[in-house]
Amino acid sequence: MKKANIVTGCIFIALGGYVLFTTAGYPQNLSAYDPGAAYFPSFAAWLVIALSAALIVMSVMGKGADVDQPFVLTPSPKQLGIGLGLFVLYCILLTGLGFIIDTIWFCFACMYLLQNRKYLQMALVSIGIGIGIYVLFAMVLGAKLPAGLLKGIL
Amino acid sequence: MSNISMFLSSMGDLLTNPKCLLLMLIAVACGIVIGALPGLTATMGVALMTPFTYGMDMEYGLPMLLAIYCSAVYGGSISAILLNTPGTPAAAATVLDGYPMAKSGQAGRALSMSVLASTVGGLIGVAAMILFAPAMSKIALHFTSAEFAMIAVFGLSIIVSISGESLLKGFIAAGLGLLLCCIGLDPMDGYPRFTFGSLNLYSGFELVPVLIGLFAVSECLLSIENKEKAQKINSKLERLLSPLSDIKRCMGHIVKSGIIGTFIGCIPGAGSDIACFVAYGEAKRSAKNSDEFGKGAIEGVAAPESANNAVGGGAMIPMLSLGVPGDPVTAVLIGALMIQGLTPGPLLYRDHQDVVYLIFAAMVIANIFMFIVATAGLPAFVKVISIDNNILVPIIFVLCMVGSFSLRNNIFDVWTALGFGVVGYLLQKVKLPVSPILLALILGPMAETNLRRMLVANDGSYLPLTSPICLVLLALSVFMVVSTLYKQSKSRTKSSPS
Repeated sequence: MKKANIVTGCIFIALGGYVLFTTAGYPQNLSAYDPGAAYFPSFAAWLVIALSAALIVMSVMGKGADVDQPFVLTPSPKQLGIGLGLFVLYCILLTGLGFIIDTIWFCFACMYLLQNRKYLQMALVSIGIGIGIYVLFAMVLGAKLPAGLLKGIL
Repeated sequence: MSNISMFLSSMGDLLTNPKCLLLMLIAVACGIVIGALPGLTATMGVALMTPFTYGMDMEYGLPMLLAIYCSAVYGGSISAILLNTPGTPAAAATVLDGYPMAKSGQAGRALSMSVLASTVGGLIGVAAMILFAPAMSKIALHFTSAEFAMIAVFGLSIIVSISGESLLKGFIAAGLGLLLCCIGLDPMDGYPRFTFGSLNLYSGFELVPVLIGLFAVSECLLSIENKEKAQKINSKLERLLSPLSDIKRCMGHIVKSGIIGTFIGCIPGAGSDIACFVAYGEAKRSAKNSDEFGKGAIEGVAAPESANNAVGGGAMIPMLSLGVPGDPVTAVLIGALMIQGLTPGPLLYRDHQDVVYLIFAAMVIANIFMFIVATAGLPAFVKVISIDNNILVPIIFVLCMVGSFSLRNNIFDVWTALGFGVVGYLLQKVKLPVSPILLALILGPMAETNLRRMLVANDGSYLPLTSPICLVLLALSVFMVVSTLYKQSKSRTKSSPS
């Protein structure tokens, strides 16, 4: 975890620095006693910078509860990458395809990714999830879900 | 007529009205389902059901809404325990020990304790509402912006209890949460901060999609990457009721958390999401087995569940006596009362005592019904986690997206949930706890707004922070931090020689 802690600390220091840089350009408030829009973000940014610096120092010195633990970002990057890709694609297509169709293909693909090879079960479950959740939320609870391609039917 | 006799009379009226009881039973079942579904909050449930009560008589509509309110808060614990996904923000702390219990095959034990604690906590809140409403609302009435700012600090002190292995990382996560809550229009003068020109960011990130992302979407990503994780959780339900040993072990925490929840509930703005963390922190601090917290301690389920349901009774106090909503759900309930031609506040006590006592009686019955329905339905709830992981993961993800989208019918919230899911995944990989982010997101705006309001009202002076109430809250915060750190160091010393 030592390297991971140092990289994490650096990222958070950069984030804090960005916040301080941005808030420096915020206008002063009309009220003389109001510390202004930059007050709280600047405080939070300094807090993050100070704590992140402490994390880096402690990691370099080999101190800390988890510094000796191994760090693995992901045991299966390909699987995770495809899964994340499916998630993103689902969100992109949600309004265009509509909730039901988008959910059916997504569930099928997701189950396939997770090693399910019972195709009939996968198809039935996918259709069931798509229609079932739509009925519960859109028809029973009155939530508005995108109809997409089925706009004329639903 | 005394308060108690008026309450008993209202109870009698309700109990002899079968139609009302049936509607309340249905409402309780709906509320539990709404609360259990990730993304659907008690607020949303009450708001969704309010239109159905327009055409109803008050004696039916109001108890129905209150039944949904009570049961939806409890329902959040079901998905928190079974799916590691708090169904409502109020159940965020229940995840910490509820899910580890489910993973170790004790889902039934955690669920039955959750039902019991929620019922007892809810009844404590209602009892306080009936007996101490005037006195407690007077205390909250004296709170100024300085006290509210200090409440936020007190809330943030709980981070020491939920930071896991590294306190430093917990505070860094809280700092990230404080930065995130700055996104949007400045609460005092409306200056846009870190909005990048996007209108969607003007109101900041919505809490529910952020919560869904950090807790649920990140869990989906973790399940996907690990093929070995795709296995059933052993969740045999040996009993529907908590064993006597668990009840004995937790009753003290349940009662104490119920009182904490009631007190926090009666402070406007400090809702069940704060109460559950405060109660959890206190339970962990005072428990003999504090080392087990976060790994599946039954007290870690009992305390937040008791507190978040007790908030309901507490939140009704300022709503009924002052017309000030104690939490978002009571804000919706104010709207429901106004639709019926009633204005919550001191006049409601004077002119419509029947309505006030109808509310008291309905909340008692709702809590009892919640216990019956939830206990009877436990086997069905536990079946949720016996579904194969390859089926459960897409279902959870789709529910996350539905919950995020249906909040404002805005695709931006869907992207928010997904984005925070990735952030939550990465943070878990570097062992940064996500709960402090949530805590800071809830308390940050409260701290900033009230601190700046106090400075403006007092010519830039920080002196109001030395008021007796503030000093008590500060002392409690320091006590919380110091005692937790002391306990942690003591347990480390104990374990190090081996």
